Amino acid sequence: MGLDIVAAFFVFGAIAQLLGAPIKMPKGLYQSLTIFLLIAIGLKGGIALAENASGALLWQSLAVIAFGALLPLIAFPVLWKVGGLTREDSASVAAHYGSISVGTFAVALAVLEANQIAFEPYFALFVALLEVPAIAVGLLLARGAGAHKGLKSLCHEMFLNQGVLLLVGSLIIGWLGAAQTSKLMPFFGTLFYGVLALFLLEMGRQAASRVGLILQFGSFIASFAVLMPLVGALLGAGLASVLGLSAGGTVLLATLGASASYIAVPAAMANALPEANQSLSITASLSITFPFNVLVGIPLYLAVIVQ
Amino acid sequence: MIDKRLAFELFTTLLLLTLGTALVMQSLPGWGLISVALLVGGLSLVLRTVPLRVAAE
Repeated sequence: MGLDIVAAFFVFGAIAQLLGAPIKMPKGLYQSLTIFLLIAIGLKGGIALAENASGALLWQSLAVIAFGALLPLIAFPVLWKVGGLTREDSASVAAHYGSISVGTFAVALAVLEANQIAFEPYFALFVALLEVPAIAVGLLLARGAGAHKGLKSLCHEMFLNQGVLLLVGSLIIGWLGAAQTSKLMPFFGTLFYGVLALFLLEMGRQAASRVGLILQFGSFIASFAVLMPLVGALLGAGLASVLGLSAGGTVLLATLGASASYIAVPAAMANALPEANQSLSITASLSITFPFNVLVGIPLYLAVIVQ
Repeated sequence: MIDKRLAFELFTTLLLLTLGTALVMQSLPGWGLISVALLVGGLSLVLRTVPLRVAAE
């Protein structure tokens, strides 16, 4: 199995940056692409939810929320006790690794669809659910150091950040208006892969532009950023097996467990935990874990789980 | 006193190498893990030896 054609745009963007010829996009375009991907994934999930809603889904959702809360609890002691990071930095990085990356999920979706592997179509719901608990756990872990804000602003950061809001909003719209989505899907469906390719081109540039920071932060964070995805993928695949998900669903839950946030959590942590070094978390999740998952992880999870 | 960071980095490198080799032997895509193991191990080595050399000079 060669490099996926969509993922190839990530490599292209990274190589151009490393050659000193970065492909620069207008500032607002990256945000527009992110909004498009969130709405497209939410709509697809909502349409699927209208056709597949069941009681079992409630239990699966609760298990997924518990999974999202567990991952930062595993990451935090490693970062704090082994890595020697400050409590705030450990909590912030742990929250990033407990949450998920919509970009990584979109790549996994594209790879499954390209290989015609079936998966539970309501996975967008799990994506939205996994965004939230890690932020809460991360902030609770940091509270020992006295870093906290009021409950109201904490809840605002967790439930009303742009990523969660767009995913949940479009999921509900897709669910309630499933019969009318033919009006929207030519745009959000057909263009999905093209937009994802543009998004990955920019992500490649951003990831490569932080290579120098990896050297600055040291080899421990690089080791953590490739080991933690494997732990998350293993636990995600185990949970999928317990929940009785299909092979495609297992690949997706493994990918979600392996991914680390670089959109929703950084925004929440910058606001709720300003003492933490945001650059450290974003460099680990965006410049190491994201490329690791796109280039090595997803093909690996797919091969191991499906074969 | 054991350097916990070094132990963690060595553990990660060896785990990735072992997993990658096992996957390749099963005709599964393990070369990615082996490459990452070499990168992580190399980074760990370089970032420890370069500052020592600079200090010695």
